[in-house]
Amino acid sequence: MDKKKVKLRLENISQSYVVNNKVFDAVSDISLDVYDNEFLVILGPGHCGKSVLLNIIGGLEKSVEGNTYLDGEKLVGSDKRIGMVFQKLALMPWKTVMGNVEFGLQMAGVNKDIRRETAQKYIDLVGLKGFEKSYPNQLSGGMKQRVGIARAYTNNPEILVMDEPFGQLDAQTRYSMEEEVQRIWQQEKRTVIFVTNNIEEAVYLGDRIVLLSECPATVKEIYDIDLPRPRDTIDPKFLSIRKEISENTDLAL
Amino acid sequence: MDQPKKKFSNEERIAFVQNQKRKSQYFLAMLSVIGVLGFFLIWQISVSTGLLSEKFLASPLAIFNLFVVKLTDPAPDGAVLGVNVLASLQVSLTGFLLAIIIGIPLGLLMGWYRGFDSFMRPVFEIIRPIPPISWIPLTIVWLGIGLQAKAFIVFFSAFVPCVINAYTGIKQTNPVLINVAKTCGASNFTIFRKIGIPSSMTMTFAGIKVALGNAWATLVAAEMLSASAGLGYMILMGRQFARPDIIILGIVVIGIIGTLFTAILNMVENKVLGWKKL
Amino acid sequence: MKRKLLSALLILTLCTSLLSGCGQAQNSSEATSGEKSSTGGKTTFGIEPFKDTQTLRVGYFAGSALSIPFYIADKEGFFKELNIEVDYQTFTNGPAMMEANADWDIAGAGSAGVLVGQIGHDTPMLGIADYEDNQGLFVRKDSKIAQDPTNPDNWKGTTWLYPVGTTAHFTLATQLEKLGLSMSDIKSVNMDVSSALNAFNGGQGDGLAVWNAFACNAEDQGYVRISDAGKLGITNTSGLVSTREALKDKRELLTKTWAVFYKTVDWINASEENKNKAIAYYKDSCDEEGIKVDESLAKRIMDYFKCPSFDKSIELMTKTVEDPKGLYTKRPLLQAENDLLVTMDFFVKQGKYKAEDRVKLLDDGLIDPSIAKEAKALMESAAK
Repeated sequence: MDKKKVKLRLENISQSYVVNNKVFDAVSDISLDVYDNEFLVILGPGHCGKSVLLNIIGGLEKSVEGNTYLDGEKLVGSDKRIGMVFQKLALMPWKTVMGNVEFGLQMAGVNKDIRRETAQKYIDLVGLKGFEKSYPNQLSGGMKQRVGIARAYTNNPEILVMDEPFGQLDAQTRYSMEEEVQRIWQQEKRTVIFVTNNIEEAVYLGDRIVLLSECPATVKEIYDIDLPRPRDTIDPKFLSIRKEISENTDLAL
Repeated sequence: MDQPKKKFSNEERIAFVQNQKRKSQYFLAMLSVIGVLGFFLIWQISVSTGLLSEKFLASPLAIFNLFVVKLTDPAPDGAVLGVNVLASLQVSLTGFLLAIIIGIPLGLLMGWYRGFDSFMRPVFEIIRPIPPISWIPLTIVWLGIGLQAKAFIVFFSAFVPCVINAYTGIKQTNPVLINVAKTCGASNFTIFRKIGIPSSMTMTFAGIKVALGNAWATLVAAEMLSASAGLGYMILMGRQFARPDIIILGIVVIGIIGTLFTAILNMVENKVLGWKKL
Repeated sequence: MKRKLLSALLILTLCTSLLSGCGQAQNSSEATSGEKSSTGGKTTFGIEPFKDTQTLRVGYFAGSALSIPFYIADKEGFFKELNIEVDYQTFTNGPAMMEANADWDIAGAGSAGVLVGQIGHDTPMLGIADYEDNQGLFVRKDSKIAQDPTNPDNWKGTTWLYPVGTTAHFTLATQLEKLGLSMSDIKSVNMDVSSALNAFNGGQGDGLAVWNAFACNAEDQGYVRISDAGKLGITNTSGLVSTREALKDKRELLTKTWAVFYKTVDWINASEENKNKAIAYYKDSCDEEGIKVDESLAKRIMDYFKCPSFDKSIELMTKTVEDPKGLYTKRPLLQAENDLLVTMDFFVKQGKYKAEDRVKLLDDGLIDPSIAKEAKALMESAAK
């Protein structure tokens, strides 16, 4: 068995805030290894610690304690090697789909033709071919999320972090997006850290599931999901894992 | 059972909807025209029947007549209408452009950089409520009596909405977009340029429209400072020589040009902010 | 419900007080006790007092000598003894005064203001209040014009600050004409006299045309008085005007006021002591309005004051002569009309007024001698 390469390491991460003259602990001493090209799901109850953890990984917040290491190198601030897909409102309404997707490369000063080509590849990958000139307010919720994913991919990050990207979508769209993400990931493999509060989604997508506790967030348990892809949500093995996890959490489905 | 025959083909349905839209637009436009005509009709009737004294309120027909005459007659202010309009445009547009060039960047920077805001805010808040007219005596001393002085007065009234709107606009920037840019590796200044400024465009534009309106309205005050020509000057002369018709003509022309400004700005806005209408 | 009523009332009160706050400043006079009526009922000029108190609303130019007889008469008690209470409405320029004619019964203004009133607001002139010689043209000591005012080239292209459409304008135009130039040879910047002086002090413009206290101020600043209306021989009338309404409803008040006004002018000129008193009164009236005036300036202003005497005023409003310019042939003209027409004709030449306006002035009886005649009759009977 190959020793899997550690892509991202979180070491003793703690985060707390001073709110109304009281200290509020959001994350308490989380240590975690994320392996290269794995699809890691972080599962936890709503609004406590998950997004904070992601922000720390993405360099949008500085943790009170602890460090993150990418390929052994300590991370300081935002790093282009870590791309993020946000839950909502992440598209620039004044830019077209193409404009949004190529934004990162534009920031990096990449030549226009190369930029366009790369962006087009990922627009096609997420299934939005033909919508390059559309504006965000002409797109549905699911389509907007796809643009977000395409944009993140276009920057060619080494790690893709997704912060509950389907939280705002209706159930049907959510299922189809889960399939999409799964498909895209299999086609263009890279390390993904995916955050959700939905157990079914977690089991469907993840190679491993990190279960977080209630506030302050700590690692409660880590599950290895060894099912073949694409997964069948009514497969008995799937359901038993799902049951196991749900009993272990205080989450309602 | 056969499927019932469709009543209309797709082409017919599209044509029908387009036709309805056209009719509705036409109807609304007609209402606007009727509104304006109605106003002029009431005005004309009031003067003709003596309800309003001809002495103090010339009828629309008389004003129109005067308009045509004034295109070539310099009396009583000494310049034909065209010269007056140009003189006024020169003053207001200079003040207006200065206000945009200085005011908008100032508002944007104040909204983005907290330190700069703390630095500029007290001065700005003190200046803000001062009415432009009260600057006149000092302006004469500092800037003399030429274009700079008059444009300065206009600048003042136009400057404030530019700053405030740009400020408010950029403060509303979606924090998620800022985070997106951060994760794309952008510096604070780049985020300011690429995310902050575009986000503020809607409010900034609203500010520009108000600024132009203010600039044009402050015109008369500016020309009171000193003038040899201009619509405000023309109105003053109308007063000096018992020509209320000239006064009204001046007011009407000021109003019409103001409307044209708004229309032009709306067209520009549609170009820049076109994505909003989609 | 009660609360709504209360707030509605409060708002109404607020609005009303705001609205009444706008509008011209009103100074009610405190008719000081003069040394009067000690001769058991005989008033200073022998005019019969009113049985009930009458209010005389006067349109007033603060700082202007032409209005000063009202103020002096008031302070000396000449009005009070007739049971007339004076209510002042101050204005800063002619057009504003004429527009507000619903607020006064009698007013004094310069010729340009009188004309605006007559043509635009149907306010007839009742008499001449001054021949303003102190309408000055000023330049700086080191200017080319000061070196040689008779050389037209020194004037060409210069910038002049003055209020367009007033007698300052007239004076400047007359001076230019004398040099063979016209208004188009210079650049005009329209400013009110106060702003013009300020700007000139600030180094703006090459020349200044201002009147009265401002002209004296300009002199004090060290500017050179190149010429003025007096030196140019311009007949620069100021006039007393009234409204058609007042002429209809308050004839007796107007007649007595007219008489008091001119008799006060006679009083001023009667003795050195009175003249000095008048100067002091002028200074007081300026101080009240916040206009800076020192002793020397007050004296100069009063020296320039050339209001015709009572008798002369009657003559101006009654003696007739054919139109010396031959333009108006329907009837002979009063001397007062001729004097006012000097200014009118200037403006017609400049294209500001039309020839029809000149005719209207004379056709519509906008120089009205009826009050003068009644005042004459009044004083004749008072003398008996």
